[in-house]
Amino acid sequence: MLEAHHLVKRFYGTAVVDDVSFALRAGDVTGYLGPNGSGKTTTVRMLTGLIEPTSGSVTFQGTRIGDDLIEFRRHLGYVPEEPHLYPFLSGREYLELVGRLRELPEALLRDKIPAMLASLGIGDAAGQSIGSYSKGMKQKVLICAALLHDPDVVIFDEPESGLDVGTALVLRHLVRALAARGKAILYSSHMLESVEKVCGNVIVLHRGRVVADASVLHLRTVMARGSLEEVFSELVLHEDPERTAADLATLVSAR
Amino acid sequence: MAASRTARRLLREHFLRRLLDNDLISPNADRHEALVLLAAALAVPGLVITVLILGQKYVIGIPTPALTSVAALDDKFLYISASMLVMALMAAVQWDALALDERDAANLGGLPLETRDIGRAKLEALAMFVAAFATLLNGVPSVLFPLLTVSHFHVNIIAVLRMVAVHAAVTMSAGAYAFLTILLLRELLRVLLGRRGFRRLAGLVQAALVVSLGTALLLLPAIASNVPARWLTAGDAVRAVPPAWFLGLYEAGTGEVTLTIRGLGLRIPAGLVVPERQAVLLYDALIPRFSELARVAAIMLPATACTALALYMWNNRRLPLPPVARHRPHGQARQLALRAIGRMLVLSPVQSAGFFFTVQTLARSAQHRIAIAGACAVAIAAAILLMQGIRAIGSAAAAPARLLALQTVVTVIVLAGVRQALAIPAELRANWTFSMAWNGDMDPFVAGVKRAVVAAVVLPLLAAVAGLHAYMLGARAATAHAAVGLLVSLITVEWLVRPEKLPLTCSARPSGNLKALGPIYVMLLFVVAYNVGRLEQWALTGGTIRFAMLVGGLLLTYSVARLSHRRGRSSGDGSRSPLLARVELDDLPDTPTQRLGLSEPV
Repeated sequence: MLEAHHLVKRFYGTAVVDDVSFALRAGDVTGYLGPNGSGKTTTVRMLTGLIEPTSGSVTFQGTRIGDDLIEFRRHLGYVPEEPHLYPFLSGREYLELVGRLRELPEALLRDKIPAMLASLGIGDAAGQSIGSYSKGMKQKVLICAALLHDPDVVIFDEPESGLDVGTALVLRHLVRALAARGKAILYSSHMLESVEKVCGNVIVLHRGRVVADASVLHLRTVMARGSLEEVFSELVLHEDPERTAADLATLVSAR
Repeated sequence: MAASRTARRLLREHFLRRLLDNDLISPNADRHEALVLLAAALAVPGLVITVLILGQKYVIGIPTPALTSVAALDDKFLYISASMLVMALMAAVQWDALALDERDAANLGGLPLETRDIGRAKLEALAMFVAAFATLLNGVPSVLFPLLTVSHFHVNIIAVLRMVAVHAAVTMSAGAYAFLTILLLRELLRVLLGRRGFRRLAGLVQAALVVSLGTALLLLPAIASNVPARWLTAGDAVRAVPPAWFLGLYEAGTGEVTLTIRGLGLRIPAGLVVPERQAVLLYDALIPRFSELARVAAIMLPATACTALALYMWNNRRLPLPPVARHRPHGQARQLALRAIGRMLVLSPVQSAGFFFTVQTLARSAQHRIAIAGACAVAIAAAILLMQGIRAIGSAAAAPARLLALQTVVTVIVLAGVRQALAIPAELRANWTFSMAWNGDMDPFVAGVKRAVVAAVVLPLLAAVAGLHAYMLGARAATAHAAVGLLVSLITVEWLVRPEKLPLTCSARPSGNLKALGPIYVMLLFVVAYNVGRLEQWALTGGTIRFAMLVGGLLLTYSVARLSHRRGRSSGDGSRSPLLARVELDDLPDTPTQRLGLSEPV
């Protein structure tokens, strides 16, 4: 459904994303893993058309997204990493703005928005300004905004950031339910446990390059590891975490 | 544990940066450039007024000591009032940055610093900011104006230096008093209303202050004329006029020099002997009043400062907590009313998006509110000038054209402010929302924006002006006049709201050539408004047919404006393709100065 072909993004000559290719298929949840600065968010921004790749392309149903970005975005839902919203709007007003820009009927918005906000536990605060929301509440608004128009492709960039345990569980079930309804989902996260539970396939990114692209089960079998966390450590972390932590603790105590 | 001197210095610098990096200066703008422009904007008007306007008056016009002393009262009043109004306006614009806020609490709350020290550092930064502002504003006139007033007389250097020092001290103290008064008002409201109530009302109070102070500043030349007759000899009411207190202080400080110059025994030209004698009598009669006013200033300045500072320290004794969303049912009635208005005025979902987003942004975003409040100040000042000398008439037949022109002048000025506000992004970092959800057609969104401007700005404005006209002309004529006003406003909206980029998302300068064309636009506005006024006079006095002809003509103009807008858009670079270019995520404001780039590599 959505395919990345040899994506490269350079900033001031440095390749932040280097020759990344993968495909999101209908009904699949693909995890996108990598340490800080590995190029996850840059890839996601190229997939959504928010930035253009230096080279390579993104295609949606065989067509380059840049050829008709607006049409592509009609089918796309996106939860960004940073919850930048209009602080003077209420949660409901923000969702109404998004729904109207997406040309959804007013009657649908009237029913759907309060129900979605209520199901994520912020129905009572729907009329309060977003400026007074906690990070988790903003994240819930972003999730509602991404799903309001029933998109075919959903890209989550760190969706659990700031969410309480209960909502994070709801989100995991929601992602699986959406995939069961035929949506293609990219789930970019640091939370290995979530990715392991939610995603069928995993792409691991390290220093801008794909170091693994397979099913979670396959990775665990091939690398003879018991969990995704151990696989991730093997692929990405070249230092011993315990030793790094000990060094850091020594630094903290230094006077 | 008190903070170290280094910690206090760092805090002061941090708060000073925050005062300069506020909403007025975009975080992406070049701070040095913006500061240079701000400094020039503060210093140049004083220089121009002193050298070009007052220079002629004193060097060429008035050669005798008492006449100079009396004439100088107007100018001193002008300098003092200008200093007060500009400083108060600055405080009103910086309203949110005057006290510690949630960001300060988040950044500094975790550090081992006492809240008292943080509050004190913020206050010191404010004091430095106010001192720099006041010096830039009053520095040049403080040196030049005393020199001008003694240019005909042989006065020793000590006396001149004393006059310079008094001018600087009085104008800066007056400015500081005005700033402290706004701070006092803010902190008093905070105490009286509580944090939640204050948060709710603060925006409204800030807008009201900007409107009233801006109007007073624009009307200052009229207010500061004939000061002895208008203010100083007009009974005890002058005790309630703060600039007069500081004028008293000024004269109390320089009175000795004035009397010394008079005692030099200069030769008075024959034609000026009588006026000079009258001026001596007038000035001498005012001396007790100056002393009395000086005493009021001497009491009010420290009293205001102490009260403001005490309230400030009280309100900032704890770092503010971030606002917390309350889980409670919200205003259903307001929602229903808004929805009903939306349904009446807009048709498609994207039009609704433009309509509601515009209403919400203009009403709730501080930057947009200030832009419109500034325009309202100009409009009210223009209205007051146009209304001068006009009394209730009772019919449109006898109404002067300038009374009928008032409505057009006011609406066009406010709509120009709205156009400016629409070019300010509501929140640049949230623009991704538009990028992701944009449907590719700008016209319906802009149509919604226009309807919002009509509903939220034009109609309330016309209702306010209609109230005035109903009193002046009678209800029937006022209704007809308001109908004409609505059509003129619709034409103005079509003419002014023609954004090349998506309104409220991109920082688009409405007119890059405003500095050159601004005066022409102002002249054009008054010419058009007077002619519309004359046409209305003709129509309102000639029965239904003439009025129908006027309305028909305006409707035709409106249709032509709409058609030309549509044709302009469709003859552009396509109806869909340029739209994403118009929703620019990191759209920086244009630089206000020309970059020569001489140091850049070729």
